[in-house]
Amino acid sequence: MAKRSNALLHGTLDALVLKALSHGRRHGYGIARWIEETTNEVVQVEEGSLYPALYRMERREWIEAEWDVSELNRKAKFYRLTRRGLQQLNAETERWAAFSAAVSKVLLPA
Amino acid sequence: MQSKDRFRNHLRSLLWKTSVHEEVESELSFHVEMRTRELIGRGVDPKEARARALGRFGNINAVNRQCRRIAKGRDLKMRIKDWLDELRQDIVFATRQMRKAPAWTLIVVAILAVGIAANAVVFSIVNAVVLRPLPFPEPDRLVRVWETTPQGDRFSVSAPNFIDWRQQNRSFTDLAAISYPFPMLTLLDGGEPEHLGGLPCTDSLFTVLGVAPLLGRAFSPEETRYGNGARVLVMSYGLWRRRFASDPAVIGKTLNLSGESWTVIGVMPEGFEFFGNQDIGIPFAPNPDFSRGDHRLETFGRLKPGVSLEQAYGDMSAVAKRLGEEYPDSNQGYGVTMLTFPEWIIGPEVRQIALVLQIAVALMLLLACANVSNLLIARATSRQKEMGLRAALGAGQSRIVRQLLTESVFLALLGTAAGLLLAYWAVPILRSLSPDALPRLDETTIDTNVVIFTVVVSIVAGVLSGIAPALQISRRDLFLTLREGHHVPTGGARRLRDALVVFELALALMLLVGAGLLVASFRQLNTIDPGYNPQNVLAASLTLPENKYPELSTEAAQFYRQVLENMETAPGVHSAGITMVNPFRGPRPANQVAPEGAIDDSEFVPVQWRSVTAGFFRALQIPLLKGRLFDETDRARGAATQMTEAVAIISARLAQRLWPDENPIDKRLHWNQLKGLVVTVVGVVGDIRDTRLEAEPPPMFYFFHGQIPWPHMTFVVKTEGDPATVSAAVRQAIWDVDKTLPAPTMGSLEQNLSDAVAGSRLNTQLLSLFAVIALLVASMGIYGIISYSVERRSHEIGVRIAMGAGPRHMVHLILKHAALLIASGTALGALGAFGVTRFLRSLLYETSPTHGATFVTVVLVLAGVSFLASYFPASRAARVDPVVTLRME
Repeated sequence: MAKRSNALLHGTLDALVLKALSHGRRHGYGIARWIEETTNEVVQVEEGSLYPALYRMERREWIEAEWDVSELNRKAKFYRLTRRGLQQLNAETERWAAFSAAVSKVLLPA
Repeated sequence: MQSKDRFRNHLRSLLWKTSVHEEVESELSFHVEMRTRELIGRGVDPKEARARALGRFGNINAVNRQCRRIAKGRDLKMRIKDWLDELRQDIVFATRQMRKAPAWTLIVVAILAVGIAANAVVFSIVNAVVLRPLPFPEPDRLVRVWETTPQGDRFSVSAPNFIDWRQQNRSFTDLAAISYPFPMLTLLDGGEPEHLGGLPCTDSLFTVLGVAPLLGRAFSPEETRYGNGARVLVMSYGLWRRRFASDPAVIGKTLNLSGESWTVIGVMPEGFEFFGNQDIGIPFAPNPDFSRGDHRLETFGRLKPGVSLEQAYGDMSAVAKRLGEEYPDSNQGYGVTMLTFPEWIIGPEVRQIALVLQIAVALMLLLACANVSNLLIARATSRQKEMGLRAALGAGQSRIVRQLLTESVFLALLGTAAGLLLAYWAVPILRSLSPDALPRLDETTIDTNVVIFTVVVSIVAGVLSGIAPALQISRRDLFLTLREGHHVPTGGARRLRDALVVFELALALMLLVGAGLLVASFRQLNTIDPGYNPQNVLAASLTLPENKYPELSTEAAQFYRQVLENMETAPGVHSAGITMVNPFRGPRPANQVAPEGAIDDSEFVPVQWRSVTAGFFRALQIPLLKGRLFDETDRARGAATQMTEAVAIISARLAQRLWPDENPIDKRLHWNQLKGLVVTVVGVVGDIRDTRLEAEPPPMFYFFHGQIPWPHMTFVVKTEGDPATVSAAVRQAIWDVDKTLPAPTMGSLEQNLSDAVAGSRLNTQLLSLFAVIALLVASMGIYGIISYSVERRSHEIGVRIAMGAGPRHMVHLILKHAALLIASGTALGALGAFGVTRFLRSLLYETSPTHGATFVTVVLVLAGVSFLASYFPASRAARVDPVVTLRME
């Protein structure tokens, strides 16, 4: 629990997960690592939030799961983006862009 | 996309059938392991690494639980989706099948539609008449209370008795009364004068019924105290809207009613009908000093919470007994009787009618289902190849059964749509045909309850029709069918179809027996001689304004005498008279008489009594058996108000009861136990029935209207032609005497008689209609099975004919099969009918529920019609061409 450097804003986790899957299927750990690596470990994914989010998104049919053999030769659950999930990703990205632009305007005046 | 998803889901469920528990467990532990490896790779001590990997989850058990919960929701959603997908597929498939066989579909839907429409109509009647609550709060606590005479009849209550009841009982929150007769008041407010029917009621009526005025208030106890004479009124919603444009300012307004000022204090809510649809309620103050022998109050009570009807009965009987001891002259031997409102208004007979109709339509729907089952099997045999293909593609038996049931339920729902349309169309006709046949029948509509009931019934019908064929078809070795490539009817399917036809015939027979019994009973009813000739008699009822023509006044006597004189001279009028009871419509005034000098109360005979003129007997052609009719010398003896002596005519039955062996003429009678009035018998006439047609004629006692001038009378006018032609002359005869009066309500006496049996007629008509439909459907059933049998055996028949068998012999062969089915069906049906017709017993008039002639006739009709229905297809067997059938091989 040591270095919680950056708590995610509400709703951002979903977008990041969807983004992580837009490049291909990944298992839960793979998604977490992808986010951490891509953000240079700035964003730390909380597993306690990640998995319920994955199940919720699966229920909403943004993502779907399949079992396959992982790189360690172990059975793992892989997620992939559905068409609905892709739409959701686009919508969240747009929303984030608008939001961050607005916040930047306040915090970082030109 | 949808089917691809489904396919993937299907695969997933096949290949990976782990539980949600395993799924989450394994996914999370995989994550922990991966994270541990990662940390070890970064140089963390393995033990520490695992602890940290776990630690990142926070409470891993809680996460686990949370995921499992969501996963369960996910799986449920998937299952529902799959199920709906399959359902959609089945429906798409079913519609495709129906389009392939439009005629077949139309027949099935039509059969189901008729069965379902009949159920919808009957349920809408049951709903309106029996099930829908009465428009009062807690109607089960509302009680109708009567007095009983020592002979046990239901009697209206006298005013002093009512006062004592109200004070002394401990069972009711309160007792209320309305008082006969209902006066008519004329509204004179400058506009067109309008005659308003008034309902004299106690202040307690509103609290007992539990209906408060919409505007203003009801009567205060003070306003209904005897001697107060308050002229205040509460009006009906209808009058308020019609005459006062729903203006709330009407409260407090003063109205001129028949020349007196009345103050409006309240308006009742919509839907509250004053009893008998009166326009206004006016205060009724029971007079404590009134005669206890004069019974004219109708009383109602609301039971206190927790008090049962039996307790109230015990309590009130004790009160009545005390009154009997206190006032032996008027009250000795008098008791009480009571019914709750639902029992009083709806009653056991109506419930019985509702039950019988409901059973009848249920049988009819069962029959329709059996027929549809048969049609489904017939069709399924031609679809076996398709079923085989589906089985080969991996559809299990349950899947195929489900698909077939979806088809039949879908057909039933189409039938429901058509059936409800049919019912929408039929209900208004039913209502207009016989509005008075059952209480509240005019309120019958197809409402939400009816639609829900119908849809549920149709789903049940769909499953019932589909289950036998579905099981039958799916049980077959479907792969075998596929290999053989043509349909092979199994012995099982054939036996099932035969059994279904036998079942259909049996049901049809039961319905026909029920209808036949009602028809027989109805014919018995119509042979009843009412004791008079109703042909060409106009019945015109008139209510006179009380203030102008008080009860027992010379004004009332004179008025009617003059009107009758006018009428008898009118062209087309044969004779005219009046009676206080419009036959089968009016009240049933009753009292008791005994020969003069009677000492003991047991010598008193309960009688129905009427005030009439001589013209009444002439117009109705009631035979004068002894003595004479009333004449003007009787009028000269004086009106009854000051009278201690009067003349009377009695019915043969009463004469027999009073003086079995003597000539009753000039004998003298005590009119009720008070013995105040002595009556001399001047004539004996034939017995008549003017209250209930199916009951024996009551002992009847006639006063002369010239002596007992009642203000509310019914003219009976015997005409030379159609009674309607003299209605203008009758109205004119009234207005020539008093042009301020309203027009009388007119009808023909024949109509009154016909309405008296309206309930039985409705029953008989509906059940006959259902039975005829049942007969047709069952005939269709046997027609179908015999056609099928000829087709199936055409090869065999062809061979036999080729071998030299005569064509007629082949027809006989087929007909033998038909006869066996018909015989089994009728035998089974007759047994069933013996079992169920006892439900009809209370509805039958002088007809036994096992009436032999009816059973025999019905069996002959059913056997004849169904044999005829089999004969046409069977005769085709004679036309089988052996060359054609054999070449087909």
